[in-house]
Amino acid sequence: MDREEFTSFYASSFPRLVGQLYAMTGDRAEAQDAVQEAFVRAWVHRGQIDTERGAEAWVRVTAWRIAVSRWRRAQKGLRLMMLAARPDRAAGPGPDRVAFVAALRRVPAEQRRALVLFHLADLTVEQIAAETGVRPGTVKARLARGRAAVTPYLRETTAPVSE
Amino acid sequence: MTDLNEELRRLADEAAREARPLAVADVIRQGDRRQRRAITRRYLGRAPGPVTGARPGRRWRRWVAPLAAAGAVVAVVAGTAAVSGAIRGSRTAAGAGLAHGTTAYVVNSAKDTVIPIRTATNTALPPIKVGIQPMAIAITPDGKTAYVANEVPGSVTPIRTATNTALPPIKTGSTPVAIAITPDGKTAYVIGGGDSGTVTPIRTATNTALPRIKVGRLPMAIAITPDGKTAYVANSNSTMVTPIRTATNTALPPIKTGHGPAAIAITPDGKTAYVANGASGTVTPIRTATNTALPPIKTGGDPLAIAITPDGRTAYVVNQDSDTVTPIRTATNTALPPIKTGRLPQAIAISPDGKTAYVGNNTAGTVTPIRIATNTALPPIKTGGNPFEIAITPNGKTAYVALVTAGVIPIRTATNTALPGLKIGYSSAIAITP
Repeated sequence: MDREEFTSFYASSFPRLVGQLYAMTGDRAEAQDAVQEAFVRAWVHRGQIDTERGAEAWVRVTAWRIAVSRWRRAQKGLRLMMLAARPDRAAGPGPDRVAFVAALRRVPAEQRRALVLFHLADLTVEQIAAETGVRPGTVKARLARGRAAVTPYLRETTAPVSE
Repeated sequence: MTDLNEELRRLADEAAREARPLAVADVIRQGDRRQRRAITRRYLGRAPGPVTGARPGRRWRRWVAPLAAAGAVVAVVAGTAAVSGAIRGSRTAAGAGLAHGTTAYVVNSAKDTVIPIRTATNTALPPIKVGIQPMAIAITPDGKTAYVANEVPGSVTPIRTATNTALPPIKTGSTPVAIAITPDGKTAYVIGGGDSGTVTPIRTATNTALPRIKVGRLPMAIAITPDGKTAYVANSNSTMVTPIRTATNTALPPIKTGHGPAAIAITPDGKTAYVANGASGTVTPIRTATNTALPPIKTGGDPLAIAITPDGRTAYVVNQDSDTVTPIRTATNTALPPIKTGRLPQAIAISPDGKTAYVGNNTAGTVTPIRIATNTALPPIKTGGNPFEIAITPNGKTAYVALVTAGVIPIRTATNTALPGLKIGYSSAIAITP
């Protein structure tokens, strides 16, 4: 990946990845920081990253690891981390969204990650298995559990979009 | 009714809209700095033996041992840190040292550890925990202490090599990126500080930090003359190299170089320091007697590593953007025709006998040996990873190549064949005891 390719890759995928990392971590500032740092590393390792598709997955995995290691360093468990995440200052529209975020935060981190990869990044179960380093069966179980955990909140919070 | 897809998407879109990415130029600059930092550290590492031809490689920074050691072996440094180039005090000593075998110290900046490897058997010993994000390592000329620079929170962890135990960290300036140790082993210089560049001298006898010295923007590399009198610091976000008088630990007036000085190497006779100007594609020789810059020598694109042969005749400059190495004849300061390497060459080390330069090609995943007598590239050696740093044992038998994520692979220099790799994870710097 040369400078020009990196520039277009960065511009096109940065916001999307911040969105995905936010959904995975529940902390907007962390998501932004982790993705930013992951892109710096992506440039350093650009020699090992070939296609743009592969690059996006690379940055996402790296950003996830960065976020997780920060949590660990802060000596919080992954679940606690999420619960303890900073209040969403820019929580934006409506309490319904807040409730959904709160529900999402209660889902164990790896389940949440699988949900985001499947529903937001449009990856297949096999691709998620490859990205997260577990077997497809495990991915399916995580998806099922994660869905079961947040679906009730979806129903309860089915509210018109406020914007 | 909203479903999970939509709800997640809405959530993510909000965060995406508010994302405030840095300018891409800043991302690239930060990445480049890190790369250079890593590379510069390597340089430090080697201590060349004095003229005898110890190892050419990146000795510069650490000239540490050179004078002292007679022909001693240089420690190779591979990775980030400056290596310790400890040279042995004397040849006899060196011989004795070999009997015990040397130890290569590999920095794993992902796990915040340093892993010792017995070079005689290629076996890894238990990891030693250091500070957060260790990036550079250097070993004293007597081989007794390895200093590891931790980026967070800005400290150096001494490791007692006899027992492989970490001592309490010593506070330095912020984000230390490279270390060089004087040939007498008394002082370790730690550079860092980002755009408010600092040098922290550490008295090795007591492991205490002395007052910091201010230098220029984004120091990336440091090299000490063989007589130990002057340390040169390359301020990579500028066009300046800052000399430091080690007797008083004071900065002398900066010397004008090309843009983005990222690496320094000093000839074994101590007369000339060669500075690679990454952004200019040139090398600036500096006459150390007067601290004056000579006319720049054109190299390839983005030179970021230099190694000088033990006989001091040739400086090899690694051009990461041109996939070449430019030999420079030091007698005349002229560039010879470039030698083709693999893609994205970033590391170089020269064997102690001065016959072969090993160039690590990051993207190509290979090491290109260069026959120094003829300046010809030999067939590349596959590494199974992305070479980042190279260090050669003092006896010259083995070159250790640090692979970005895949551990370390030893290369038998007699046959230029790869031995089984050590899967010890992310390897960002290497130093070998004298």
